[in-house]
Amino acid sequence: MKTIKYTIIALSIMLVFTRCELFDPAMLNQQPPMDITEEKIFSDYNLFKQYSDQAYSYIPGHLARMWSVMVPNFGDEMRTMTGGYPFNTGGWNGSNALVAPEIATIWTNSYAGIRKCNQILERIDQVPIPTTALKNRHIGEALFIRAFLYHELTKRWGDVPYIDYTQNPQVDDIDIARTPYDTIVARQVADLDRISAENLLLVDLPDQDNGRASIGAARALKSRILLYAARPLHNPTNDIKKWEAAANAAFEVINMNKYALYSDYKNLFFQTTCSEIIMNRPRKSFNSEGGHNDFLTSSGGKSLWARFFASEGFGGWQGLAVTQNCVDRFEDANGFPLADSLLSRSVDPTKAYNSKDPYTNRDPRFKASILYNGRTFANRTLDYTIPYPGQAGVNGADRGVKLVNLFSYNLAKYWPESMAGRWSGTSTYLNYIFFRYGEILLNYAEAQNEVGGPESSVAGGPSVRQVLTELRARVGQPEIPVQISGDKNTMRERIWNEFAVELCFEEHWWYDVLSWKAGERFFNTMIYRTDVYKKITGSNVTLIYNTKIPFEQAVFKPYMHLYPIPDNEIFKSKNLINNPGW
Amino acid sequence: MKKHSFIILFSLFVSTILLGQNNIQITGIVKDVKGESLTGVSIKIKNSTQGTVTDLNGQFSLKVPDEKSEIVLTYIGFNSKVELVGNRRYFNIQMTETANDLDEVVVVAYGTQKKATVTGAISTMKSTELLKNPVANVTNSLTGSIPGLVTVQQSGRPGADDAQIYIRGVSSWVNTQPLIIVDGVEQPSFSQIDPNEIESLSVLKDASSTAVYGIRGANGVILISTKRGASGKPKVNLSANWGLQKPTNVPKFLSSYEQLLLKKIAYTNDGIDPTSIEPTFFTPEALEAYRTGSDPYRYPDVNWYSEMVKQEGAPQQQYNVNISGGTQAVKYFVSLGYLKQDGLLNGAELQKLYDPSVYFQRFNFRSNIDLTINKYQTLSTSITGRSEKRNGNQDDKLFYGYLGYQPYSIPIYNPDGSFAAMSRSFNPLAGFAFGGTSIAKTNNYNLQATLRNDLSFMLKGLNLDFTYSFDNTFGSTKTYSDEIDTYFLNPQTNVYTIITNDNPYSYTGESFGNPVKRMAFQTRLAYAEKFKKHDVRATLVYNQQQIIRGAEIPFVLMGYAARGEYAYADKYLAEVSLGYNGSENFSAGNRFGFFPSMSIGYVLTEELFMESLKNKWIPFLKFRGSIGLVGSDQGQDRFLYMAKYSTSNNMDSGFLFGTTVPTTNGGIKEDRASNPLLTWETALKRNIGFEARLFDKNKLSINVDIFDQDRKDILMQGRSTLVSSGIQSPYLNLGQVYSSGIESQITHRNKIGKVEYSLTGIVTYAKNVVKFKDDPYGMPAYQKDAGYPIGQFRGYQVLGFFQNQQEINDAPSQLTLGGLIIPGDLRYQDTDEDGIITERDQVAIGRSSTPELTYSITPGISLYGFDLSIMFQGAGLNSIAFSGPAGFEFSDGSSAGQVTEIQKGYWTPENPINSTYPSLHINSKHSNKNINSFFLKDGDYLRIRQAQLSYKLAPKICRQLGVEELRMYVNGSNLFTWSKINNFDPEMVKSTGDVYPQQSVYNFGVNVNF
Repeated sequence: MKTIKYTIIALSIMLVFTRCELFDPAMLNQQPPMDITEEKIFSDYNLFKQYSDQAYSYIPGHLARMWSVMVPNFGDEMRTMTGGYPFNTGGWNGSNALVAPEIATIWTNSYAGIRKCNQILERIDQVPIPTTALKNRHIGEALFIRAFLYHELTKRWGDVPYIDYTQNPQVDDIDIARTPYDTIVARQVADLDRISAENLLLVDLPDQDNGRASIGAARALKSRILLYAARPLHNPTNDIKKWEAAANAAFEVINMNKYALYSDYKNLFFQTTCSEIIMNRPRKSFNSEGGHNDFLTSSGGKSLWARFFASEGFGGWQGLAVTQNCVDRFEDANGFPLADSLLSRSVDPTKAYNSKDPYTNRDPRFKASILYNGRTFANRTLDYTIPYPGQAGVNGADRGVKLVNLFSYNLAKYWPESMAGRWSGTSTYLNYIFFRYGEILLNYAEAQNEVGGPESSVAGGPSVRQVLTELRARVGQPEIPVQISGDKNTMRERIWNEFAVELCFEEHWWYDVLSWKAGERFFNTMIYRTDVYKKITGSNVTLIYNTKIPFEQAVFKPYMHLYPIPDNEIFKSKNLINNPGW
Repeated sequence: MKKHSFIILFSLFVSTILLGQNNIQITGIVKDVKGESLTGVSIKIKNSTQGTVTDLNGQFSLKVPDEKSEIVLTYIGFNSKVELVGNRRYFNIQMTETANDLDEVVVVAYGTQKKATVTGAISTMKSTELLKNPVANVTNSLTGSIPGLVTVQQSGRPGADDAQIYIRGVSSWVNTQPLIIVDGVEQPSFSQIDPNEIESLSVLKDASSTAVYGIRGANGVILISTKRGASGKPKVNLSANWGLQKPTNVPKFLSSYEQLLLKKIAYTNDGIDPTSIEPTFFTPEALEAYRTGSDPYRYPDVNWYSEMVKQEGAPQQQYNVNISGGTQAVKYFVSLGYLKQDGLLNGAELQKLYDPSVYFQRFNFRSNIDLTINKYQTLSTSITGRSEKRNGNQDDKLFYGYLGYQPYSIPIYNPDGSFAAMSRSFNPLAGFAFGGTSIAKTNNYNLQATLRNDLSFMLKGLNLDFTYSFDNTFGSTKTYSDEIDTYFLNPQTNVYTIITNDNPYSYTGESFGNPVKRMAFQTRLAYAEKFKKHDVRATLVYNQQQIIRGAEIPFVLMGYAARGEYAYADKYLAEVSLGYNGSENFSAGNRFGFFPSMSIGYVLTEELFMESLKNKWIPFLKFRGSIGLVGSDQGQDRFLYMAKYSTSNNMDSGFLFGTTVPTTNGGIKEDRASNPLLTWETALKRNIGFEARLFDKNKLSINVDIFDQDRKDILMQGRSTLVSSGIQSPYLNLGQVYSSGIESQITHRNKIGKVEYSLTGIVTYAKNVVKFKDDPYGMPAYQKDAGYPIGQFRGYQVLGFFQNQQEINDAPSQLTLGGLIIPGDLRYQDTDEDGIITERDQVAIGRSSTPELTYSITPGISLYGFDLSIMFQGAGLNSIAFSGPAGFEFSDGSSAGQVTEIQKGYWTPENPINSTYPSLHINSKHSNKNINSFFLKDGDYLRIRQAQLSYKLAPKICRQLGVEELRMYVNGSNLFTWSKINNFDPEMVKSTGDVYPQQSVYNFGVNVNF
């Protein structure tokens, strides 16, 4: 008996205590293997370069960043499938969930990126970087991205807290008041000038570095920043020195003699690199990578980006449509706006606008950017017609049945014709363009026109009229008729329109109008759509265009030129004061 | 762990198996007061694990060590009895019925306790009660049967119909799942256990009963014990069930004609000419044809929901055979179960090549074997296996489709017999029957062994147990794709256009879910001894477990638990429990937590001065109270104390560089800061209660518990850190919730002549309020989370319908919410009084989705072998939100969405007062369709949760048939529901309605013992 007893005791004790794993709290030391710390990042170049490169992704450079709406949906260029978008109805504010991707997300992401740039600038000396050139590049990129992100903030909010050090929310007082706009501009310009002065970035990027910032990009950003600073919203006294600075900054880019307009406007957006692109965000080809495909989840190799906005006639989902307001900004073939068609007819009636046949005799950029009834695209004639009232029949394939189809226009600009009608295949690239030479010419024209009028120029540079003519000649549009651009004021009208047409759907128009303080003029307006009636009389088919059908009254109030700081951020702060009106 | 422990256990077992003999042979017979012999009475030698049970004739024989030995007789429903062996060798023992449950033994954490002296808040449920409900998933059998337990069934999909269980409501927004322990070992769920295998289920609710689980005990614990064998002849139990499942509630859609008339109104209300968008539907000829149904191909009227969902119901079958028995040395319980639950979708019969139907099939096997090795040792093993198969398209989104499919767009078939479709709508029937399938298989096996060592030779009453458990779950999902031709027949031209192309049936691939291995080891040292009137018990436990899920970092948990119990004369009771355990979820210094609790009890009826009352009026009255601290180590993710950096090559966190094939360096992003001080969530729980048995023969029993809980240190990221700092807040122990409530169970049992009847009422009321959630300080109070329950619904407060244009003009503008506002639209409250309705006007509306009140009333009656019980169960004080196709007309604008009976009551100028629905709108983003108090409904319901009529054949007939017991029954679940919600099941948790419908089950079953 004793044997049993002792065996039990002995074995039990053995079992329990000889197993070192048992009772050992170290057993709980489970940790993810890839345990990255801040210290490791700034002491290991391999980690650091991944950390540094990621800063680029905070720059909004993604047409589909808001999923089912695009920036052109904010103003008067486009409308979405769902309608009732708060930016259109005046219903946006600092807590609206539908506009959060443009307000709360931009605020949050920009400051996340700024934090990273600050960290890099503060700690770069600790990083074992192989070469001085690389170290310069990382410094230059951090300065550039920080300036870019502050521009994304200031163009929306005006004054914002300028933070140029790494905050520790657990220790520091991070409740910072807003910094005046002009102070931020001065800091941005100083950072960008430093890039040029110290040659921190390259002028010519090797192919594998396409997408990185360059000297040209830094100067292009400076041109944009100074132009926005000179525009009415932030230049209430119309300080001409600000316009001079803006004109000079644009000329700095022109004067590099590195960039030139790309001859094929329509296909410019599908080039990986070209003479016109100053900086872009490279994508992999259409179906194999997130990129634009993640507009909606890409599945089965289908490029849903195009499918999302394509008409039902192409089997698309008809997610977006172009408004009549946008279409009406495309001049006729004489170079006159539609409102001046009488004048235009007196110049050359064969090239003037005809409301019964509204799509002929138009600026070639109309066809390059928009799909409309009767246009051939991807070997199909687009049919947006509806039966004439009282006559039997069905809607044209492209008109479909969704509300947004009421517009009878679709987007062509970001849809390579070779891809139309199929949703897979790796035929093309759709890089997001941050800066292109065309914009620089417009920046120059606008600023210099304010300085000295249509025929003036900066020392050694082209005149305002010359750069505009150059820009229009690329697509075959005649120069702006002098009759309607003889002075600074009439020319300003044409330049604004040129921004609208040349850069349509490129995420410029909304912000341009805000900075011109012209929101009430363009966005507090009726949005129009078009019906194309197919009238059958005997064997004759006539098309009747009604291009002035009200769709919705868009609302824009004067205070909306500056965004509301997200409510939730205001709630947290004792020092942040929101923009007036919000 | 691993193999070593097995080797050691095995050697221990071998070294002692041949030893140990008892010296005195005793025999005897056990009878009740009437002189009938009792079968299955457990007879144990006191302070040892050895014993036997009486056979069919009530007889037993047993060897005992010596004449000082005492034998203990226990039998459910009878007072236990102790007999000294002395010089007797033959025993004629009479046992008396207790007629109450107080002598029963309750399974508690790491042991058992006598019900009469339990001081914690524990409720139990027995096998027979579980089996009364014919539902396939055992989690749904608990509803209404246990005070303090709140269940919400999420879906009716076969194999995915687990009820969500909350013990005493919700007290945290992080993890609310109770801990599940099956035979002493933690398991992720018990939903797929065959209920025939379950002996009892204990729900541990207060801190004193769960403190030993420490860091895992905050949400309560459900303990499941499986059946084990008792020595005696083999007992075979056979049961078979055949049932029919039907959806409880189906939305009632209008006909094509009615829908089109309303659609026309909706278009007009939005200022749109319907013919400019859908010219074909609205011509007078078309409307007439829809009205008369004259041309069902060109002008169809298809209710896709009822076409696709089997109205006649789907069968369900369940079989179980188990055998138990044994000798003194070996006892066994072996069970084999099979369940098949068919799905409710129509169309699978069209497919000859493969089976697209939705069904769930499950095999369960269990073998529980207890070996008496020697005088001091027993080894209990269990081997269980489970194989589950889920067939068919597993996507509940199908139902979203059916809800949204308009009856007038396409017929099911074209005149030529082909499937009809249209460019913007595929054919649901073709999509289901010819759309491929998937087969998901999950297998699980579990091996468990417990070695019990009786150390009474060292110290009387001392026991030492070792338990080892290994569990493996693995499986895969095979998918097959298929597509069939569908055609659109142009009603004008009679030309067929192909919409989808035939794609041959093909194998797409197999995905292997992460296999999950769980290993657990536990050592338990227990002591129990009685010194005169002092009853002393102590338990000390060490346990550890490791879970390996695929390639993930192993999940490890270890800890100690201790409990001391003291009772003086079964009158003054006290218990102290301690848990000390750690979790790998926290940093080294903050891993181990100490969780103490104590409880006391006072059995008033044991006092001498109660003697006179006790016999007549109050046979039993116990007061008890407990207080303690428990924790929860579960966060939103693992390793929340560490700073988080994410790495990725995709566009969001990386940025490509290059030209034709751009590449990236990879991106590293700082996600959040670290907080090495992060630690577990704590719950300070208090409980007071009493248990009373009143009147003669315990006719009335009343249990009442009042409880509350301070939940603190809930893991969350700070919400008041400015985002301009550029970094996300670390996880912090910030959140605080206070919850409280009351629960009660009242049972009345009586017997009048041959009729026995009972009435049981159970009620639970538990509410919670968020005390702190780091709301930014400037936030208006009505938007803060603090002060409201977890999951409080928020939206626009509806003030009524706009009655005319003047009212709209005078009211704060709602234009920004979307659409055209017309008379009959919902008028919202301008909470911030700024003259415009925006998000800032959203306030708390209704309640949260979790019911605060649950209750049940179960009358039962038995007579001549018939037994009838009906459980009326209800829940309430919660809200349900409806949106999408479940809530609104035309949920997706013109192209999808329907109109149901509910929308028929839409507002009209002629009938402004009695309207039950706002004006109709085609615009899916219309102001009315924002979340608001109109569309939020009270979730209250009362339903016949279960009902059973059973008949037990008289013992004489049974004997003639050669069986011991034969029982036949019809039972059902969710037989009838009273609720304000009549288009969906009131337990529906998905606001859009795209969920597999909950079911009623009608069942017939037979149970045979022999």
